[in-house]
Amino acid sequence: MDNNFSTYMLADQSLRAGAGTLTIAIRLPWYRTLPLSTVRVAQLRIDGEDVPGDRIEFEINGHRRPLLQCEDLIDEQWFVLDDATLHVRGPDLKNQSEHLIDVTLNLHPPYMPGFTWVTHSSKRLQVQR
Amino acid sequence: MSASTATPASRAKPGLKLGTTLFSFTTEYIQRRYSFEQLLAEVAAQNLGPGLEIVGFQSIRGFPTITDAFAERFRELMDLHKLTPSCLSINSDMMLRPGHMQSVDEAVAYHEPQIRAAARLGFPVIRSQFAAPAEVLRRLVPLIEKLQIKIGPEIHAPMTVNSPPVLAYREMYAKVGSPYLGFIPDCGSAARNIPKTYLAYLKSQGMPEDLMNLAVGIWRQAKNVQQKIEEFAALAKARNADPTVVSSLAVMFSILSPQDPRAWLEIMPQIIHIHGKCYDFDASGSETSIPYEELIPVFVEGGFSGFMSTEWEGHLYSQASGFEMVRKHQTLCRRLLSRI
Repeated sequence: MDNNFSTYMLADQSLRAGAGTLTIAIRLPWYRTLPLSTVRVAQLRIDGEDVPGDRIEFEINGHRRPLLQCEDLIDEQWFVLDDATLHVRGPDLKNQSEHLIDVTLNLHPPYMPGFTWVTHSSKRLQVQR
Repeated sequence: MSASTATPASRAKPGLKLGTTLFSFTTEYIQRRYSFEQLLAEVAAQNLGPGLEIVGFQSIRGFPTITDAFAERFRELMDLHKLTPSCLSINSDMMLRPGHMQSVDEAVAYHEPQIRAAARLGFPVIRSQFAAPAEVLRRLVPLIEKLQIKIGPEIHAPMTVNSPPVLAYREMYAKVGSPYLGFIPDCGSAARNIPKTYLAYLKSQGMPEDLMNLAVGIWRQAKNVQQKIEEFAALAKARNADPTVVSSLAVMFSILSPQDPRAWLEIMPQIIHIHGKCYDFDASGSETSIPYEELIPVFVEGGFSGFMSTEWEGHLYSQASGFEMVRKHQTLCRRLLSRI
């Protein structure tokens, strides 16, 4: 089920491809800045296929790190107006080709212990170079 | 600079004054249609002040760090647009790592720079949150007294004036006796129902109707909210509900909850600011879920003096214009105030 951030989380020009990697820009589906330690990329699927977390790097504030390391980063903020970038090692996608991208982001707002805000976005995106 | 010199207008005139929080324009802001400065200009142009509240972690990059440039620009903008800083909403982020609660020491250290940021920007009042136990605020009393800035957690749905965390704060306040400690009621914690437009939205997004009706039924019950949430979660789990569905419905319990509007009189002398929560308005201009016809007279009767920030939260589900909704809320409040 969508929430009001679903269409916004994946912008139309957010899919880019290079040799052996692709990048997906994502917007924070929440009203305020959050520490990275409260953000989880719960699922990424490309054309219906799950991408394992160890093939993803997460970039914010000019720092690019393996996704799984982000859980410890309480001092790294994701400012609410900044795009984060997922770098995915994977298929070499052709320029202008269209792909179905599914992202689920779980946020754990740090003043709401026990609450998880789940946002799923699914879009057909055209590869930009 | 001390906060007291920055807000002469808010000190000079007693009574309930209107204003808005930029949180009302979350849609316009996060969709990058209006920058922070453009929002301020529009609030002024549409006469939606004079009180101006912001959420630190929404409006300020790098918050709680305030650069000299930002502080200076902020004061310029307040002057330029004739807005009065009313309240800075800070966050009591007790779980910076999911499942790991900060200690009181850590939480005090986490609040301190946010409080200094508020004073630096000239806000006379700070909104904190009940996620932080009362002991955290008690430890911050010397700082807020030195800065002459009031602070109080927001009593937001599902809490009432007598919820256990509120009572713990009231007990601490009675012991400490500082005039800088208070509460910020959110009008959504004295609601009469869930907005129809919200339910229509959930349905349009594919919310299974049986689950939605189940949640609404539980919302109306006179149980405490934790019990309601647990009851709903258990039933949803038994039905194998999708996690996005459960997450969306769980929100229903924490955006609005029932309480007698007159309950605020119990803590009225400690009310330092008000969140004028709103979602939707009917053809006659009344808020469809929150009884402002009853609430406004209660705040006036109780002698509240300070700002009510209009806080439109319909952006949770609606793409409507925040400006239009804030205007409707303030029109309603002005009409009610003029009758008294």
